[in-house]
Amino acid sequence: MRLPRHLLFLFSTLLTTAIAEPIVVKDGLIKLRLKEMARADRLPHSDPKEITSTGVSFVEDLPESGAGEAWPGEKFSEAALAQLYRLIEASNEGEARDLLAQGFLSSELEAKESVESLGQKISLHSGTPGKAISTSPREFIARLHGLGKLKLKVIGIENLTTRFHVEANREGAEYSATWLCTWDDKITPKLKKLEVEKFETVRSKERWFIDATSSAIGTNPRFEAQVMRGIGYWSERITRIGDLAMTGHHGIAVGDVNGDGLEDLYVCDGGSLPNQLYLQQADGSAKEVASQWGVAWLEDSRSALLVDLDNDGDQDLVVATIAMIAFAENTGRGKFELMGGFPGAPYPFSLSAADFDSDGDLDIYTCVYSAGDDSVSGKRGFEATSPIPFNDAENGGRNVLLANLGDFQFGEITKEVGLEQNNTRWSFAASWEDFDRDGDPDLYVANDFGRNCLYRNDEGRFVDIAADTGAEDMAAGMSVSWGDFNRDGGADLLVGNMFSSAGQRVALQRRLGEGTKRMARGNSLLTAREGAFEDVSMASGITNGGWAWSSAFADLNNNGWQDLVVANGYLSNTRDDDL
Amino acid sequence: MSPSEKIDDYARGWTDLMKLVRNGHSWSGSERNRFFLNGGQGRFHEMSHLAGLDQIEDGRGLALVDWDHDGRIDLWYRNRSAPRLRLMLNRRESPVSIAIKLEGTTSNRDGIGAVVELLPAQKNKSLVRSVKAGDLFLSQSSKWLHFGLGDETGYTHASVIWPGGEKEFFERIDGPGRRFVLKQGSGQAVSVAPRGDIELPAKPLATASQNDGAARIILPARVPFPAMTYRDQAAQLKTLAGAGKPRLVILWSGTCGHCKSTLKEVANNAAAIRAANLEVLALSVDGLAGPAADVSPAYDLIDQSKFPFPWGLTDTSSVRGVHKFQAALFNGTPAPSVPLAILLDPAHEAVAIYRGAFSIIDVLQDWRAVANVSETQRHHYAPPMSGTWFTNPLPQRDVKKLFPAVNR
Repeated sequence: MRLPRHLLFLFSTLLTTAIAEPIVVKDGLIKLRLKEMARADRLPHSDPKEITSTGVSFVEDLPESGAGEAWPGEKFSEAALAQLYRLIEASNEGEARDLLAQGFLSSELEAKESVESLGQKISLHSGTPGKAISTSPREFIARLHGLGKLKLKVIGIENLTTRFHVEANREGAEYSATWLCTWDDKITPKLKKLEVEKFETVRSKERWFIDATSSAIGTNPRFEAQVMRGIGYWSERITRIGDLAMTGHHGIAVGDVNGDGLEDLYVCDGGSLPNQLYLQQADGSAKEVASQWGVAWLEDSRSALLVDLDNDGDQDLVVATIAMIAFAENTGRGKFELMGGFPGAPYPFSLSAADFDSDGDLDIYTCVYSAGDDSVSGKRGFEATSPIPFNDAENGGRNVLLANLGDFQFGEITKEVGLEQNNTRWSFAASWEDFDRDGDPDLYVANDFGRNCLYRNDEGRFVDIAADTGAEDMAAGMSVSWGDFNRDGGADLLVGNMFSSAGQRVALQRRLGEGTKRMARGNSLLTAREGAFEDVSMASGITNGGWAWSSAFADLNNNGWQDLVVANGYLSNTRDDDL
Repeated sequence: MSPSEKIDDYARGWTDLMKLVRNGHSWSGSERNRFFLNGGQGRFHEMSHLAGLDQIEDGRGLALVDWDHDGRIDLWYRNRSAPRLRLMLNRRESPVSIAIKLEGTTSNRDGIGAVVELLPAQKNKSLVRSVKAGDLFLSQSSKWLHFGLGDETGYTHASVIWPGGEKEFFERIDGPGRRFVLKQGSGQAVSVAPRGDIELPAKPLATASQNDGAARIILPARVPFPAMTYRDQAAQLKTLAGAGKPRLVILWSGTCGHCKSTLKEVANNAAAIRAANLEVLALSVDGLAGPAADVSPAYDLIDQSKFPFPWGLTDTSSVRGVHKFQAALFNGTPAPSVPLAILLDPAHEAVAIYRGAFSIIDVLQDWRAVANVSETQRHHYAPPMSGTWFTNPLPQRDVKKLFPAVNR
């Protein structure tokens, strides 16, 4: 629940900005004075040797079953998945025979020919899968085992056929495919036919990345507590009054805060867990100094920016917390000083800065996801307000543009500049880019339940042109990355979206209707073409990024072509049974 | 279904899903992070595992930065589950790159919003990057622009569209593999002295620390505690409710090893507990099965530890009440287990919770710290690690509204 908050000091003045026509802006910042109470940490024991408590059982009255049973087909989906895993684990022909129907047919599972070089000693094996033909159990399990370690997800059900997304890896090879499996029965299904819809294998001998987390930050005193303990751990120990949410939506910002030429990190954390500031040292390691710098804030913090707000050559700090959007000035002497905060964005998510009015200083756009929690009933998030309708919801929170008025004064100017249009669509993320190359930044906003927005900037006034330019991307939008993946000079869009196998399956069933399937399709790639965008997601092969929170264009092998990196996964919990 | 029924049904669906998650279910959990290689022909190819970018923690933020200045993009992941941060350093044998940072003079100092095109000496594919502050999900990457050069190293010029629309050409971008600052109005790139090689070895992280269930929790506010019933030593039915003396209620079982050591420690520190003016009530859960339950281990433990404080046998509905109290307070509901101790103030409001074997010395220390403090001081003292709040604590009257004592 979002609890009512009482801020300490309130000032309010009227000021004006200097854009085309003067717009009256109210300086909405609240000034605060902070008191720090020094005390010792109560850190969790590291490496507990034994469990120190014993379970108590009593009649449980929490629901054990739920969504799964209400959706027809989920039982069959579970049974089919389990049977296919049994086949994969079958160690001999006899075991496999029991799981296959009479006259079993299969196509080749992996492309054997059609090799293409992807450069830098990376090869691609693909092609058109062959027809399913009579295949012996022995031959079939040999093919399965040959793929390596397999992971399957059911992404569609129709009558007795299930569609699987399949991933496998083995030394030097990575396989991805879609399989169509036809079964003889829904309760104890035996596999009748496996047809490969599409497949490819990438081969490469070199591993690209090493994990340097421990070398970089492992010796900080709170490493165990704040890095090696997940939100699940803390959600059993920090109360709702302490504003710790299960969802773990806490971000990260890179910038050089002490001007030594090395990049540092500001890291947001949940309510009652202090935010962190990691200062990079000459040896590449990073030292956590948030308390010394005055920014170990305990408010539930979603995102942060390190930017020069007053053009004095150092990096100032903006943090989106559920209490306010906080603005802190870098004093240049190893400290940030909190200058004030904007309280009108009560459920903030991503922040993005740009100089929208070309007056030489940076303005701040804040995504505000939901319209707020119900402090009377104590309901939070979706339990307080549901996005309705699911695939085109406009009952979310109100995003805000804060104009920089100088001297750490900021005023809300959303409506005055035209950004109130389509402004309550459950926004998770936004990013500025001068996509039409006219010298002022335009804004793309990713919305969770339906259409996204593309606001063209016309000298400081905005018009939503998403529908006209083919950029709406109606899906569960979570992130925005601008880039130029095809090297034609135009600004392309990678929109991070949810890919949910449960969503794909359920979409095909009666309960949520047709719109849902597109909603759960996954990431989208929109390529710039003559002032508009073309959706090339399916053809480019990028949709399945999982439940993708951050999806980024990034050229990781320096060949000039931007690749895609995805950070994904919703809620891993103590039980494995995945929804 | 009518449209409004459909909407209700749908809203209920969300509530059901969240209940399942609170109850420990995963939802698109343990997904592998992804990496897709750009094949240059409009197609991308997944090679997450081969690249070493297929970690399964719940990802949220992602920051791209050449952390060690070796000309390759490294990745900092910000995660929901442990490890909450992960630094993946790029060690791919790759062509060189050029890194560019802008410095605005009439435009904003960070040059945010500028579009930079690196111009080849010979005809080539375009390389365009722009400066951003805040993209992806909850993330801000480095403001250094990264240009992988591929097979072409003949880049020497860049054109910049500064925010505001001014166009400027820069020369002397003449060192593949180097870093340059482009200051607005200067027309000349200035190369930055390279940083020495740094050593940040690969070091596998321990698997996420085991959650042993133990906890020492100072509550950020005084929370009404449900009434409990029990039979005392004389088998009299008693109710624990309403105002009284400050009290530590311990739930325990005669069959649990840690309960034994905990009750012994409490017994050994009886004098200190009395000096702190704290009462203790030890309630055994051995009688939950009703009259048929074997409660002899409880009696044995009381005898062995020469337990000097009142004790009794509590019942299922009281234990369920305590479980509901915890379920209402915490988004992640802990599994019911003993030993479990609740520190109550004279108004029968909980001020601290101890799960698993606890030290009575810690309890006494906590009681001294929070017995007579203001709401603001309690708010500052409660978080497990020190830090600063901007906000005032939730007023006590709102706590009472949000967490009414669970009536049975």
